[in-house]
Amino acid sequence: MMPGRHFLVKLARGLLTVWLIVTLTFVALNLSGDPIDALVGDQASPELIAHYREKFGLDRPLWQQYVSYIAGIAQGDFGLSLSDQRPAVELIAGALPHTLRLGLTAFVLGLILGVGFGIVAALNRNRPVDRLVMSFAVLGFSLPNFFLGILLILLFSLHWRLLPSSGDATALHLILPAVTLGTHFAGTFARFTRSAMLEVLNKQYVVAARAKGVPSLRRVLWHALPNAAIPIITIIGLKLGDLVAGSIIVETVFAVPGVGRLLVNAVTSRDFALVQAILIMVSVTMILANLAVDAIYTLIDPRMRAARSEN
Amino acid sequence: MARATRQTGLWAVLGAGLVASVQPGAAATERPALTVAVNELARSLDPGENTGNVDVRVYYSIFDTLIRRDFAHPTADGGAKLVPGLAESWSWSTPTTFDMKLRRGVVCHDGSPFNANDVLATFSADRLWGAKPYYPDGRVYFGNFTNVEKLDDFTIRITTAQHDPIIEHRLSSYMSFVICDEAWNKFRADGVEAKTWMDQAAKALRWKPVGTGPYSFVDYQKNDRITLAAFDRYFEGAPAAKSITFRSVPEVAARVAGLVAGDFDIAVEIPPDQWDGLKRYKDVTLKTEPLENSHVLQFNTNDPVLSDKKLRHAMSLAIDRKGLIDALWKGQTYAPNGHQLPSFGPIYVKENKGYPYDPALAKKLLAESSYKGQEISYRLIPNYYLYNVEAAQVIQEMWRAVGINARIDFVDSFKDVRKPGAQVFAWSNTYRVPDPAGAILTLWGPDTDNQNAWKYYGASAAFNEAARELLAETDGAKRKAQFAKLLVAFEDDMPMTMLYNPVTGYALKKGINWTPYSQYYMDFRPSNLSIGTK
Repeated sequence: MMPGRHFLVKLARGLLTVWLIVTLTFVALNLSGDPIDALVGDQASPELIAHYREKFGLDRPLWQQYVSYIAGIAQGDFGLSLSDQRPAVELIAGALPHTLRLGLTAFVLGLILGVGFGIVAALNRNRPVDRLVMSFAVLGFSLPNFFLGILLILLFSLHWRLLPSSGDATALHLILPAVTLGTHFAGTFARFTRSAMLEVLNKQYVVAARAKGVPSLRRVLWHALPNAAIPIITIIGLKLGDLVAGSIIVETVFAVPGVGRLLVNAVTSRDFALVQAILIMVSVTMILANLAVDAIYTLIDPRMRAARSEN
Repeated sequence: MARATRQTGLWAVLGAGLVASVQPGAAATERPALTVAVNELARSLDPGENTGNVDVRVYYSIFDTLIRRDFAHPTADGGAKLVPGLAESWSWSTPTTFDMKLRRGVVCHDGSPFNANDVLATFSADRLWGAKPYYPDGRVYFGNFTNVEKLDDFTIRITTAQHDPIIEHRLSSYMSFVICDEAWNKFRADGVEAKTWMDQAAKALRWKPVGTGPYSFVDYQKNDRITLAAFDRYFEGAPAAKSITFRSVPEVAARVAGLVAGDFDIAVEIPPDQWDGLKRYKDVTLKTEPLENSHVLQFNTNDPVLSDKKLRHAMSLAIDRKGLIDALWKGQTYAPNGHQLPSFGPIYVKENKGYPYDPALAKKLLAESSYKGQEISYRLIPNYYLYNVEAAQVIQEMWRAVGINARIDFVDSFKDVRKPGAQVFAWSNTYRVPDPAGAILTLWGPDTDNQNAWKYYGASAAFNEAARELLAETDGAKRKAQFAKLLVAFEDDMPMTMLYNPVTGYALKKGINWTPYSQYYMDFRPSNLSIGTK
């Protein structure tokens, strides 16, 4: 199959996935309750509820709401937020920089620590250093973010009063949320890097390099790491696509006004348009990340290029 | 002579400097900025659109009411005291004509002078009280209005369909915040339907409010902050803080940590499980306040099982409210003695017995009832009200102890709570106005959804007669007697039982002198906020 056609197929699959997500979200949100109920409170009269249902067009049959929503998306209109009365896209655009700042900082932190520690663990297989690093890695990805986040707040903000506990106004504010989110990334990357490195460290070309007297740092970075890169890049791609979804809890705990918190609030208030727009954004990010990973595979692994050309 | 002139000039310069230093502008730069950590930001700053706790706590600083309730200084009998707000004086000139003299010298945040036009814009029929007003909730408060007119620039006349003995309270409550005319009415156009231009006005002003309050709006960042700046032309004088920033911090641990670390000056919604921990910090003060809202359990009197009044009474008698209050609220609140509050003042029935705890009597009534141990559904939305799940579990055990078999059903929304099959469910009742006409009668009276739309309350003739008499009565002493009769009938009907009034906790940095109120309003007027050394 030609590379261009291969990507077109991938793209078509991606669009199908987005449509399925939009449809499933629409159905799930409508099944889970009435947004007006969440908007007006516990003492609202049926007349008041009817007034708002009419105002927001929720009194129309469900299929009409669905068709007009899909038609809107096709024209780039993702609808108005029920709670904010502003275009959903505008709200996401306002929140995205906060999520990217936190997410990318945490990601880079997790990547450096995770890959670094994974290599160290692989090079010291079954030694105390390996066990120590892997214990921390397991702890890192299995500790719930809300627990680690609150623990860090209690220690660094409440007890020692060293760092601010919420917001993202300055670089100092970013430390605690980035460490919380980064710990999770680092734990995952460390485990994958270790196992990928272990697979290649005993390959003949690494043994040969060692026999040739190639210095150990060069051997690891030039001979072993690139060959262990495929599974590592796969997990990096998945996690990169997961930036927004992964930051939901951390943004809530640390009061960062990003997309994650926007989603939590939108789900709580059943703000349909906003939830759908965010999920479309998350799924598109995931699909793009997967496409990017696919492209990188082809770039870094000549076998894949050859296989695709043959196909 | 020349020397004398130079000295005089020097003193003049020094004097001018001194004068300048006490000018409001100079003072404003020296005032501290206040940061308030809130669980959630206001959903909008349109006082007609949202009256939730998260909304009113912010816009109470932006808008004023014509008449103000002085929460900090109740009357001698504990009643709600009313003081002049944007109106200086008021009186009934006929039983259905209410006249108000407006305060002079008040300025709106957009610089326009406050006058009768602002009151007309606020209390227009199209906006609040006509047949189908733009803000439908307005009719709950002002549905009795038939006309609002200006007699001159500083005199307003409200005409009502019948005499309203609590109109002053209505004009000091939710929905009565006065907006400024020019910002609102500039959207009005000849021949354009009110709904259409009001849609545009509301959309434009929901995050650009123009009022007369002590703070004016500066900035809103969704899920992050709302910033207000001191409005030094406020009629009560310059506010104590140069700005107030409401920061959205949903996690209570982060609110507390931020306060202790000095990031915030006030943190709201501190639940009872955090109170003891806060006492460890010497630079933090905790203030708690029971709210004018009651958590209640509603019984569907039309349900085949619960239609037996003796069962409903047994269920009410089996609940140990003091036990619940001590366990959940650290003893910092109370269960009202009936559907009333001490702030009802002259109409408060102090001797009313309310909802007692008597498990022995509960068992006796249960034995006499038609109840045969059927499982009773107790519906609730988990954590919709603070501690509602914990309370349900405790109450379930209290009922089990007297022989009542209840099943807790978690549901997702009030639509689900009220779906067919509802038997018992958790609800809250807000005392919108400190009077039965703004509380029990709007939630349980003859014309309410409970009796008509939802049909959960099949009221007795005694209750509905008492309700109608009370609504028609204007004489204070007679109203109290009728209210006492109404409470007795209501408690005998037992369509609900009282649990308690929830408490809200505020944590403050030392040096912030501020008093919380029994409603969610946060009052940062000069009379309720001063800032000392932190």
